[in-house]
Amino acid sequence: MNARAIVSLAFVTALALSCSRTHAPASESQAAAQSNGLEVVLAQTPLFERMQMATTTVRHGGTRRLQYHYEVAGVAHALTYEERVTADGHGRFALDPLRVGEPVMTTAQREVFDLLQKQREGFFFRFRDFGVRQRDLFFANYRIVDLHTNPVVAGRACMEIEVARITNATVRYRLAVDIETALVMRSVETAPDGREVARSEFIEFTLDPMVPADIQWFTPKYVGQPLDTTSLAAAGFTFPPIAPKFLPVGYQHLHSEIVREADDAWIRRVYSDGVENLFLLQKGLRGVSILDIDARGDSRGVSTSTSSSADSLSAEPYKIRIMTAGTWTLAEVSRGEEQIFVVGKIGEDEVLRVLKSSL
Amino acid sequence: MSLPHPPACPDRRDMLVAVAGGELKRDLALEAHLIACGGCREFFASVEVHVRELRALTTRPAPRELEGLVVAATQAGHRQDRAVAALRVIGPAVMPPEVDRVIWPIGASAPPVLDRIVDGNLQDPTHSIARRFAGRIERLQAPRALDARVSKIRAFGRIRRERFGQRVSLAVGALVLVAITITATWFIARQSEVEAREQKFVIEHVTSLDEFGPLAQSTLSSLLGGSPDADRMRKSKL
Repeated sequence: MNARAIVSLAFVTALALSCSRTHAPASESQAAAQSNGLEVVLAQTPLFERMQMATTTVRHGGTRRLQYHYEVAGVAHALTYEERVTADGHGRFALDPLRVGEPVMTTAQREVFDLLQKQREGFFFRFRDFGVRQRDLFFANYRIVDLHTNPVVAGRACMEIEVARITNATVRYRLAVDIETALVMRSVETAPDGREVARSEFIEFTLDPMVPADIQWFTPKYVGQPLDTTSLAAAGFTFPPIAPKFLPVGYQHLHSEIVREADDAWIRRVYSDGVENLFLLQKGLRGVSILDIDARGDSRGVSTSTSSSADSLSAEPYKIRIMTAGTWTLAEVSRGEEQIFVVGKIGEDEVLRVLKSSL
Repeated sequence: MSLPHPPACPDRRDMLVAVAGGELKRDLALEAHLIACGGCREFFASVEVHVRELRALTTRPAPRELEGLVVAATQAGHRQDRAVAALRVIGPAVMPPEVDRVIWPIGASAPPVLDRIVDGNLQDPTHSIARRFAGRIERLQAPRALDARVSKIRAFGRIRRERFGQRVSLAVGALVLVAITITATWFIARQSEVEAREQKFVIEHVTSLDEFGPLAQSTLSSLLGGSPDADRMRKSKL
């Protein structure tokens, strides 16, 4: 894959990832309505409920250092970089890459990488960092331990807590949460063997950030469409969307929406156990799904032109590619341009079961 | 010297005594028999004499002890009935106030429960007496035939229950067998279906994100903070 292909791929996919619905308001008035009187409510709300909203309702800014360590087939990979975080407390935010510590890159490589990271800020904001996605699920699935260490992170007095799944724990989080604002100032994610797999920490922080005039707030390129008959038809889907019949223990459906990648429309289903997300994405081929063709006894998406070719292809099995990268597992089934994939912080068996149960 | 008379006919003695005592009347058949039977004629004559002599005796009252014994011997077991009958005849009577005062001092009264018991006994004396004395009735041994019949009926009932139980067990067993067969068939069929479906998948483990579609690549890379893209960027010719 050459550099041009990487850049074009990065732009296209980043656009698709970023352009979906987030907590960000589309306008000033929407932002004002969203945060109306929220400060008073926040002060009286328990910490974990405030954590759900703090990133969009607390005006803040600073520099955050992020580290990722993962292995693919026994080969270790690492990424260390810093980003500037700016949030106006009314739902608008910006994540601007600052510098990359590891791996070492040329200036050109870093510029492309920064551009790519900037395009992904919406996805990062929604799904990358630790967050309480759904309060009831969080309390049902997670054990929270106050470590009583009360660290100070970037000048903010925090309480430090450990968060881990009650059962089937794949990772453990050690969080330093700002007592006043409920913002996560530091998050350290460790594997069951104690290895650190991810770290996110504010190294500079202020509740009154200087917002430059030319700041590029995240603005969704389009609002993610909820999944209904009208939006499916509008997106060119003529087949019923798939959904897994099996979900890992503790996971529940959070939301489904239609997202776009270039000219393709995808159905994105998001499931969560309260913290971790599990994604199932489905793309149809010119409005025809793999399953539709399969149900008719045709060729499962490759060609419907002749019955002889259909017969020969109907015996072909689905080919599932699967890969584990650190704590994440990705499995994809594809036929030609058709794709369905599942990615989550769960084991291979469970990812495969989710994917197979969807077909 | 006269010849001794033959004895009276045994089967006619009671009747001859009754006729002599005036309890039965003489009839032609008796007269004919007395003419023909010297023994009976002699016996009848002697009984008439005795009766006459006894009737000639002065009447004297029996000693009280004897009367009590006789009453006890002839009327035992009916005293309660007689007492109840006497009470029924007497009927209600008003208690003289002075007696009432002696029995029930002023301020004291019979407890209501005692009144109810007495009233109940007077309303249905037979039942109350039967209830009170039922425990004293002698328990008699049942006849052997009845005992045998009861035993036979009980044995028959036991056999019927055992047979019914056996049939129920057989029916339950058959149902369980059918259920197991259906479940096993379903399970095997489903297993075959699952296996058939399993056969439709070929799992390929890959070690590079390049093997996946663009959106899958980008999604995983984003979840890892962009790390895979940083690696690819570093390896690129930029």
